[in-house]
Amino acid sequence: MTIADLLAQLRYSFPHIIVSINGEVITKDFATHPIPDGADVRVIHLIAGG
Amino acid sequence: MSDKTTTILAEFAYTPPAVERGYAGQTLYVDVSTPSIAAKPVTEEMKEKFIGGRGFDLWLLWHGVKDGTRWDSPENEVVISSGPCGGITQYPGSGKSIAAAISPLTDVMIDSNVGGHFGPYLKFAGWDAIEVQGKADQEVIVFIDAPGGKVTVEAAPADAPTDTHLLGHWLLEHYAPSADDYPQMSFVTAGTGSEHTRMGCLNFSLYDRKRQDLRYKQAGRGGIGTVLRDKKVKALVVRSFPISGDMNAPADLSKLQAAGASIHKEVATFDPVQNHMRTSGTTYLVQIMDDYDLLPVHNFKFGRHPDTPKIKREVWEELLTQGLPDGCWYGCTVACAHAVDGYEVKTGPYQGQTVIVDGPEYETVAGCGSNCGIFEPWAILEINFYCDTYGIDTISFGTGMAFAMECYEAGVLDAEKTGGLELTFGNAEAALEVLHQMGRGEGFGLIFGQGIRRMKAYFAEHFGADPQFVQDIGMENKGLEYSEYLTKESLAQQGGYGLTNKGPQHDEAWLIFMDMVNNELPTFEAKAEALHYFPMWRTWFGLCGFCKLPWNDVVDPKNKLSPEPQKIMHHVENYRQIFMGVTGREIDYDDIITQSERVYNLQRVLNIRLGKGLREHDAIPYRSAGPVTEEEYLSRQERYDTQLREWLGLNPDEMTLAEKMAAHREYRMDRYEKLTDAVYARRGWTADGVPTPEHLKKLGIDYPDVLAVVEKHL
Repeated sequence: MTIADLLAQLRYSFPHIIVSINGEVITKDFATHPIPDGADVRVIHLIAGG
Repeated sequence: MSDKTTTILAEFAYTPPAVERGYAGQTLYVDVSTPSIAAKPVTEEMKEKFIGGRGFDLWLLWHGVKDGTRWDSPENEVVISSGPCGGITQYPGSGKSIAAAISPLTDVMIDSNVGGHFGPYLKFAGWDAIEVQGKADQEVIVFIDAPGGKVTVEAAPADAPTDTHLLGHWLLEHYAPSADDYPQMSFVTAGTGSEHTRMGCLNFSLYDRKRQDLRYKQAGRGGIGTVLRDKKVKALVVRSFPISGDMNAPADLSKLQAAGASIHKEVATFDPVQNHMRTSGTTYLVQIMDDYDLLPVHNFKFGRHPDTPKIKREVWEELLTQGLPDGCWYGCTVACAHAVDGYEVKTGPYQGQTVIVDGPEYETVAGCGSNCGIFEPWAILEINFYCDTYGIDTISFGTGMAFAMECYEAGVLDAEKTGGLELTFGNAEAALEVLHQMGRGEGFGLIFGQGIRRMKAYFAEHFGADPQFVQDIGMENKGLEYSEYLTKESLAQQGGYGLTNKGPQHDEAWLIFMDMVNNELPTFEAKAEALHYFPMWRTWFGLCGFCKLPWNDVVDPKNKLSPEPQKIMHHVENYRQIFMGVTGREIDYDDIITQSERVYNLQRVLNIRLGKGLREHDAIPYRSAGPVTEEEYLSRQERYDTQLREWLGLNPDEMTLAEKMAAHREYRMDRYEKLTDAVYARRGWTADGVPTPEHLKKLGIDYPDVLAVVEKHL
């Protein structure tokens, strides 16, 4: 599963998102970046205003 | 002027002063009762403590009204001010104004931010603010003619229309000396709907040079258009000077240019892959909110709907005219102020006319669309057009209509009570007919136009409605209708709407992702800190003349790696540099927050002075916090049952539906009370929501008349 797959599964469509995998911040290539089995994945949405 | 035959009722000659470091140095006072006109000096204390914009509005209102002033009292005022940075052309979103008055909906001060040319033009015409007081005994127009060196109050001729799309053209023809002057003209108008309701908005015009026609932006919230029409003011008209990039005479123009170069590059690079505002405005939020179960559907019952794709961004991108520089002020590269050109009106008195429809923005699509179960773009455009020209706030209309529709479907209303209108969810034709009734001042539209709070009381008194039910589902706080975000799963945003000065408008704080999705605010104290910082930061936009959108709607991805990414500090630094560049005043980040705190706290004290502004007035309807009906609970049963287990340690398998809903209600409302305690403490207020004398002293606003108000409540 890639990061993009995970975001799509969660319906996380917001464009300002941080993803970290096992503590490492991933800034690009969500479409191809794989998520290892058992990884600690964190998704943070960056917005404080509507 | 082609055929101007108005009668001058009062005249004030003046020489427009040169604007220095963002200030003209005087405000314009107009009493339409007498009528009379005067100039008031802008003091150093006003600039130091209240900055401009909403701060100047507040300062003038504080001194203009009495303790017992109500929205329709002669001493109530319509006040408009941009701010020291308003009118710069180097940075996007720098032409905003704040309009303010005592609101017909809330009985306290409303502040409503708006684009368009009027605010900056007013300043360049020599006035940092305009203050309109009194009530005229005939229809009047206030004309600020800077090149002519005079301000006049004039009798409006009987042939002057009232609805904005007609009145704007009439004003151009009658007040611009020639077509060459059209770009220097701007108007503030309302409409016939403002006359018959409490939710009237103001339209601020801008002359669109590409289209060679008028466009409008709205100061929508809180019924300021109603106040303007109650004063029998048909229009405020300003004729200013041709625009150039240094009209604010900034202390250091290079600071503005440097900040501008940085942000323009970000917008050009990232907007096309982020929010697409340059092609479709704020409509990008529609599908995103649906994806996160946050889009209001059927009066905030639900957060998503299968038909949302029919009103998502891509649909609007097709309808909105592309390729034009659609900023609401010069130099705005975000350019979100799009329009549908050549729209043929389908209903009502203007059926068959071809018009420009400004917008719609997210709030209008969500409020007048999904929240009412309306997923037809033509209907949303039609409602948008008529709300604007009648002078009706689309948010109050949309949220109010959603409430009325739920009341209809719940049996509180029926066709007999609505005069034959079947106000079921999705019935766009019925919603439009109510809107036309508001324009005509008749039928159910008159009841509806009083707003949700008064509809609740009316339905209980005259239609036998259960007062608790209509209170629970009627999405208003302080009398103002909610803007268009679902808050049930975000306690912080419940506070962002309820623990406010003016009522539930998202421009104070939008914390849903931080709170609900990221779980970054796990404690009451963390939520309280966010409900201190973000409302104060966002208040500051309204003091200076800025738009909020360039702050956090287009962001360089490298911001993700900064220490406080939610604050977007590299943009905050841009704004700090601009403020210093314009005014010449050195400030740090703490100063920004303190500047806002002064205004925010004095506004709270004004509310208390007007008989509101206490803890009881920050209460929220239960639907803001949790599921009111069985239908709502069952639609998200897995979520709610899981919460009972994890949050309350209960076993939902052993509970009836009624017991489960009662447990949620008790738990959620208790949390709101605890949040209220934490927020008040963080803001320096008592448990009843009153700013303490010590806090007011710390902020430097411990004036004797201010302390006299709070001391009655300690």
